[in-house]
Amino acid sequence: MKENPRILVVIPAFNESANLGKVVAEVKRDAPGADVVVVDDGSTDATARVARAAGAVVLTHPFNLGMFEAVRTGFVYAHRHGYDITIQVDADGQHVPAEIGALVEPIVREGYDVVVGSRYLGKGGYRTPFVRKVGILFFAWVTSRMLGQRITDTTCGFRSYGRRAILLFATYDSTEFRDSVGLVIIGRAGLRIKEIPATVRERIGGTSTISALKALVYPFDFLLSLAAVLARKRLAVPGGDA
Amino acid sequence: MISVRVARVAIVLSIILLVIVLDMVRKRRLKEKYALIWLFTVASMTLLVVWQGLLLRLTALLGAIDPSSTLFLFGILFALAILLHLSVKVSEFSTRIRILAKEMAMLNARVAELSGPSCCAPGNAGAGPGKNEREEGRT
Repeated sequence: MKENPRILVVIPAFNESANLGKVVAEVKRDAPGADVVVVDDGSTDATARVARAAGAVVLTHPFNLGMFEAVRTGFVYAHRHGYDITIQVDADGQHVPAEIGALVEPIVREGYDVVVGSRYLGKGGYRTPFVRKVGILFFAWVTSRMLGQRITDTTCGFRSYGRRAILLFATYDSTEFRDSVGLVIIGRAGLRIKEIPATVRERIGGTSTISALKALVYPFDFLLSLAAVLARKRLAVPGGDA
Repeated sequence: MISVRVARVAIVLSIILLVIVLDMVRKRRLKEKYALIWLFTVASMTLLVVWQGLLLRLTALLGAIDPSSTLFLFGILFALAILLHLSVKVSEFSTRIRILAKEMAMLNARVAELSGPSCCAPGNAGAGPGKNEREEGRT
């Protein structure tokens, strides 16, 4: 990886006008070399306007496609514009843009392809409700077994991706990349994943987007996707320059 | 043997279905591509009713007692096949729509970039078609 990589920060946003301006401003302040793209996932509020006013490039989905599809749109943009590294940051202000440097470091210095922020690797301060904690432990355990590498937090949306990962996400169209299964696909494609501690703040405004019904269906969706991924051939990723 | 009456009912229903399907194709409400699976269903059901020997042999093969249950079984199997076919098509189309939506997002950003800050930026609240039909809460 070259010394001065071109970095793109991708912020998926669905009705996040309340916090988004602050988040974009903070990213621009703490990661001054990076470009910022906000993917407005069919918001009905002023999300796009707020993002544009804060100086981000805005990609607007005509309707809601889901959080990870918004991230993937950011990857397509990164791929077509030749970025070296893509950082994924949540729009609700839970992540700390000052930690972007730490997230980029393993890609630039150690040749990793994907760096995942984890709430459960030391840096404390984040309390997880019990039921969710059980789910997270389960997904982390399954994912760790599949990858043959310890992963403590598969659902955290604070991540960085190098060129090969950008290529993979931008060109292989699948809705299965989100969360845990995404990590398994990445690992099976031969990309190297590193987990580092990340601070996750308590949510400033708004509520979590996961409803009770979805929480109930989610594990089955996860297992089905995982089984499908394991039943397929591994993806081949061209070398890139990583 | 199925009774003459059952055979008649089955044939009349098949003919009605056939007429409806052909008429929809004629009116261009149903594409030929999607009509084929229906026509195949009608043809097969009619064949089973008309060719009693085949129906009886199938009934014996399945271990069923009444030949009309064989007819029902095949009717249900065809209905399931059509449903599965539709599910596959829905998946295919949702993928295409997803990709198109992304391309639109990219193109809109490019247009906004080329035409300066004051013009035609998409995504302002209330602008654009279909804002009210959108699904909520799927992030």
